[in-house]
Amino acid sequence: MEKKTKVTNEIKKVKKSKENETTEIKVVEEKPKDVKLLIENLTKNFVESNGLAVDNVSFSVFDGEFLSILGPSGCGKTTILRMLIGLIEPTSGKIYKNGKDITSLRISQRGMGIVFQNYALFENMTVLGNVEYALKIKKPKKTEREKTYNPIKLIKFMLEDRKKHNENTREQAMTLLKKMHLEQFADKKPVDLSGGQQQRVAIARTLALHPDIILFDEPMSALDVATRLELCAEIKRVQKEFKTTIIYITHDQEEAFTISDRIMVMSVAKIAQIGTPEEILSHPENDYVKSFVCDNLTNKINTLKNFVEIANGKK
Amino acid sequence: MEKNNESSNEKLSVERKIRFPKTKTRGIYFEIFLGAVLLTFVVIPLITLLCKIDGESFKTVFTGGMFAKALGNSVLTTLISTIISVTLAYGLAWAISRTNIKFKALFSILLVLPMLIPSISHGMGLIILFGNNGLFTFTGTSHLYGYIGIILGSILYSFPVAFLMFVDILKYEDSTTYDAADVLGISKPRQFMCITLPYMRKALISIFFTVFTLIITDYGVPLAVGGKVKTLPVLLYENAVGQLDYSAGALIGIFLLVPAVVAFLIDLFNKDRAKSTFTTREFKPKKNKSKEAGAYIICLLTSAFVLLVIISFCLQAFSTSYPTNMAFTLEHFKNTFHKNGLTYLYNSVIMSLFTAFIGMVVSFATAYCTARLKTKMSKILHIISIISLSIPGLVLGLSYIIMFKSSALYGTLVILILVNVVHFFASPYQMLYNALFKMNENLESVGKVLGVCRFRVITDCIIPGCKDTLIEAFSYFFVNSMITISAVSFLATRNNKPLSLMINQFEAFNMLECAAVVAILILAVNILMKFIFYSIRNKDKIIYFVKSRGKKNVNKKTV
Repeated sequence: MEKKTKVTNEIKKVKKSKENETTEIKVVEEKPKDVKLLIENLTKNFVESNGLAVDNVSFSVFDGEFLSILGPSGCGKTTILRMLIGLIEPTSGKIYKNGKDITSLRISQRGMGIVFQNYALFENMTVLGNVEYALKIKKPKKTEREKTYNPIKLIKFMLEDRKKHNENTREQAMTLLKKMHLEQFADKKPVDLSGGQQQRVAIARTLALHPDIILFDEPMSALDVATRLELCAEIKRVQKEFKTTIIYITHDQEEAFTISDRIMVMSVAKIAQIGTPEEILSHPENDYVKSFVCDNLTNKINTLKNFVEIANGKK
Repeated sequence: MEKNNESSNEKLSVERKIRFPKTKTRGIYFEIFLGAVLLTFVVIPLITLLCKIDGESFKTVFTGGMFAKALGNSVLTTLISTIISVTLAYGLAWAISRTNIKFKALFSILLVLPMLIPSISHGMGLIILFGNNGLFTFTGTSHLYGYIGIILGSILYSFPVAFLMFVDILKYEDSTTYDAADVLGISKPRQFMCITLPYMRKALISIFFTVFTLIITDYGVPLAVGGKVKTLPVLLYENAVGQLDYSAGALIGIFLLVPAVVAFLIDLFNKDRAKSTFTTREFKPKKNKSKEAGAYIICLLTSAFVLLVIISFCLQAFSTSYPTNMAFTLEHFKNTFHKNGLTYLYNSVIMSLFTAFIGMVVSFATAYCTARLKTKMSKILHIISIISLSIPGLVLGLSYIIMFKSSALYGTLVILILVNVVHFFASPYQMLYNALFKMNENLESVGKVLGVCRFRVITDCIIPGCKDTLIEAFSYFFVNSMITISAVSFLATRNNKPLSLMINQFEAFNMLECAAVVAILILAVNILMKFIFYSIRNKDKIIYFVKSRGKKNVNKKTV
């Protein structure tokens, strides 16, 4: 009897401690997050093609979050991304970053980076050249020096500044390449690299300007399965290491559900549902989400199960 | 909150705001400007030409039956020449890309040599070889002058163009279809009928019309070896240059415009020529002795004939009095230089260099706008740009002289440069358009995100990215300006005459030796320039080759 009561007491203790843990976790989750990006009633109407690509879309992205925008081709995912970074002008709506309206701000002043599906690397430059290009092109900082009106001295100072600037940028670019495990390819041209490596160079180039938000436009569409997995892990690592917020566009359900903190499912030009992967899987808000996300995923899982059973000789 | 908003608004006013509409319209303004320039120099001269035609010109041209005869001669000689030229070119392209023969590179160079000399010099070469005092005229009387001469000269002048087009198309054909046909036991003739011909159909039509237009609009060969057989371009040349009857010339020009416009329209609607979107496997020719023997015969015979024409120039130019006194002399060179040959050579080189540079810049700027800006104006600009492809040089030259005769430009090198840029604009434009269109579409977007202005993206990434095509465009403008005798023949005066037109002059006075000297000079300049372009394009390969040679020599010495 004593033994039994001891055991029950221990079980009660464990339960209590577990309850405490869960309550603690809940407290952490319920803490209000900083809104990094706030999108209000964003609309894009392409007059030439006579189509509403994005229709009155509003959502927010939290600081340090990994948000995936998931939807079929032509649903307006890329248009949203291009409006966020400033490559397309919205027909109406506002974009706020850290509470500041950036809708009409220049692209380079938005503090965002973008990685394209087809890498968009500068083919004539080396890997190092690609990464350091944006840094190199900026005006070098003036070092403290004697005041002079002698043009030869001035040119000499300017050249010295440029040299120092170039050395600094090279160093920065090399550090980035090391962080992306690409240092051995520094002198190679993009053509000599594999698809995955090229995409990592594109990420390194984006990181060179220290953006606090990185946008990924279907970065893995052109890659094979093994490379996709590798790159997925790489992007997650980059997010943690550089403490960036990521908005990731994909039409692949598995990809979105494996790496995202939250997913925004899109139907044609509109948001169908936004939530954590668990929420979307367990509580799809409408038939569209159910068929596009849940049914597709369960089908894939069933097919995989069938394969496994066939492989094990059960069927 | 309101205070916060105000302060953030103040900050925003300091930051530079994006101006979406302006960046877009800036591109459109540039395109409108380019379109207006092209319209001024392509379409307006043509309209001026049309306005020149009057009732009198109809009388002059259509009475006497001269026109009908010339039209008949033109159609007949052009049809026969085109069929032979296209067949020969296909045979040569097949030999180069589908067999295992040796010296392919050498054959490829020799076979395109005729493209480096003016068309009239081909006729002249034939006269030296098969004319009344020709090297191969044993009976004393020559049958060259007339239809045979025109057809032979036209083939010689046009087959390299068709050859290059066929080589390009055969390069992209998929070999797996033929492997499958072999496995199914389908005979080679049936494979040709069922696989090759359907694959090549559209390309074949395009090549046929290109060659047809090239031959029917050329006056160089018929002028040299036509004898009493006159073709439409010769009639136009005689009317406009000989009798200064521009309105009659304009009317004949309209007839020359017809096949060119048909060819242009076919090319426009025939975009997906034979190039398949993906090549699953390239052709690796198997060893086949009979095939290779056939390939050697066709390549050797054609190359020999091409070389023979060039050797004939050398014989004529370097022998004292061909064919009676074959002693070596430089007298004909002296004679040519004495007749302002050097000045005209200088004119030609300067004109070609400027044409090449301006042409390359304008065609790049236009191609960049149409391929990468993609505004509302882009399609219109694209159409205007390729219209010049359909205007024969003779017609363009005639329209320019009507339009600019009384302007300050007439008689200067500027007008020749202008007419050459317009005349040869379309092909380099299309080359550059394709190259720029194939480039990654997001390069400019990346530039914007990285804070790099469009101009820097163009100079740092786009231009180095299409460097080879730019060199090719420069080379195309240069070589064609050196050899052209069509448009410039109307606009050249004593002050601005290019070297190529001296051949006409010498040919008219039966000074074949000096004409041969001019042909050799043009060929030498073009070969030299081609070599320079090749060296620039393959700089890395050459450096690697020289270095590896150096290493080998060092190794040999140490051994």
